[in-house]
Amino acid sequence: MKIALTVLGTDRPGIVCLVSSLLAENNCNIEAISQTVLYNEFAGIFLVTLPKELNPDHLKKVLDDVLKKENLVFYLKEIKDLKGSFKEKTQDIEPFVIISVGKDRVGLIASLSCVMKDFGINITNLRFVSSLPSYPDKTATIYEVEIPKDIDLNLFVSELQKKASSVGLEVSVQHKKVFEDICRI
Amino acid sequence: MLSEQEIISTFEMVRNENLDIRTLTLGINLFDCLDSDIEALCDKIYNKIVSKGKNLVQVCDEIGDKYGIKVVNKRVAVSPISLIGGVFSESDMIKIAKTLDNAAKSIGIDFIGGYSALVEKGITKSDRTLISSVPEALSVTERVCCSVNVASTKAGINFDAINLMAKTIKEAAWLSKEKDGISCAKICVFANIPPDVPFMAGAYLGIGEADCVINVGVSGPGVIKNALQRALKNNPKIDLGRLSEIIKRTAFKITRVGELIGREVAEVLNVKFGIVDLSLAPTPNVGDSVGEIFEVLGLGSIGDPGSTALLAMLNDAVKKGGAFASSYVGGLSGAFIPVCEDLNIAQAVEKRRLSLEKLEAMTSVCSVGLDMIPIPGDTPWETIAAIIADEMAIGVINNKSTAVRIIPVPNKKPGDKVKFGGLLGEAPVLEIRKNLSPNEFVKYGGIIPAPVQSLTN
Repeated sequence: MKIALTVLGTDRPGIVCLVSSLLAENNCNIEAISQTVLYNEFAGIFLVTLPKELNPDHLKKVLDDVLKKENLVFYLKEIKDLKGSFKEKTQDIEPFVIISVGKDRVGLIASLSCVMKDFGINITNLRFVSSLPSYPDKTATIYEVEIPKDIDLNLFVSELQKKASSVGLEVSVQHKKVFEDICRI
Repeated sequence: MLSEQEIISTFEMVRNENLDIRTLTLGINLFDCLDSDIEALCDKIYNKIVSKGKNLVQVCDEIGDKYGIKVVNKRVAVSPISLIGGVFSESDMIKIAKTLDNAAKSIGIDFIGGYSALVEKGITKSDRTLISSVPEALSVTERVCCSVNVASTKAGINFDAINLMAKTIKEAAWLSKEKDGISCAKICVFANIPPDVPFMAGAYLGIGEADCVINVGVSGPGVIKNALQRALKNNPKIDLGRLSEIIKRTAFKITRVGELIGREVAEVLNVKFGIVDLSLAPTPNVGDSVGEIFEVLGLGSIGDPGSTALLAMLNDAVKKGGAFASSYVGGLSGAFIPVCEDLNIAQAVEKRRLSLEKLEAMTSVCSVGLDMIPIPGDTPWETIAAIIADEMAIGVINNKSTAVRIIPVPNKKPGDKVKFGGLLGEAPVLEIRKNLSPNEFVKYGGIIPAPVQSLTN
């Protein structure tokens, strides 16, 4: 059985050590891990395979006992295979990077991400850059997205630009390969 | 996952530094169009160009949109017309020029190159016919470009051809006098012409090239200028070695973009990918000038003492970065220093800080030669021939390509403004030093023998 364990809390040394030690003590194998720190907040997702003899409820109790005391919040979710999921249905995708630049205000991400949703475009990574060298008074949002090959790219770009300009943003849509080719050997 | 720095630096290059693809040129071989009937030949030429090139503009635009990098110019270069139209008369050659022009219009491109002859070692009857037709051919067409190779390191310098071209340039200027001799902006006289130049007016498809091939000219000087400005802002005490490194790294990036887009266009059009030309080609826009790089690096103006050394560093660093980025580098691959097409260089001429002689000196360390230079319309053909010969000598002795694109502007004198518009830009007419006595040297004719450096075997 595979589970996704999400852990949230105020960042400090020892969170990964604590969680991974608990998993190891219960003979759980970590297959993948991703963590990030935003301001002072830690978020980590551990993709874990449980041994056959381990009851997930037992693991949940163990985590609950230890992590609560450490002021960490966690969430356990069983991972099903890809069959029937969004990932399986949209295999034919191209990776793009969308960058929006403008003065910060409420609702910018909501406006653009809703256009993406309407075209069935999945966001795989989202970052916020507070100041750009040539736009010191503006902020940029970087969306790494998966665009299905069968959508009309020009129509999407034009809809996105329309929405962006209505909320005072400039937006660019570029295939990810151009960034990789320019920046990497 | 891409890093924030990778994404933002690329975004800034596109948005603020004019990162683009300067030209994407489809080379089309016309030898399979040969026919003894001129009408049949023209039909075949038209049909081949249109069938091979009909999707060029659309595909370039689509792929440019996909990557967010604009392909500014889409062009076609064909096999040398002096060979394709070898058996025909001058008036038939002009029919071929009109056919090329019509084909270019049909597929929506602004220039088509290849109205060309290779005469470095001798002029055949068909070469002579083509060259004689050039003034009229360029005056009755809009998009046709002509290049003539009159010298090479292997063959020497053909003064008969140089003299013929000098007279041709004078005549072409006169026939387009209402537009300040604009036909001469479409005539390039070369030494060591590469067979795969994507840039106009020199582009033609050389012998030995594939049937159809995509050659790409990378982005312009704005990207390099901005990278240098950033580096100097971060560290005003940076030395020339590190500035050169920044140029090299930036050239790597722009070359990678050129190859990425060129290869994809070639794949979609189902033709071969040829080369990336590393030349930094300016436009007459602020922020897109080779001359501005000189100012950023501390020279008051291009043309001031130090300009040749600076250009040598720039050119070499661009080549090093480009050669690492692409295994298929070709064409001219050097910095362009055109007078009319580069706003800052035109201004340097206007302020009398850049002379023809300094331009000539600078061309010994970059690839391209005397480019887009308006001179007084009453300049004798002998002087034009001598200017061409000097430039050819630089190419031949240094085993590199050089070219002359010179415009004797009818009825204009030094300092008068010439405005061609669009990418061809504007500039004041340069002053030519008057010969104290008539130039008899060029009139000897014949060929200056190939230099000893041609004996490489």
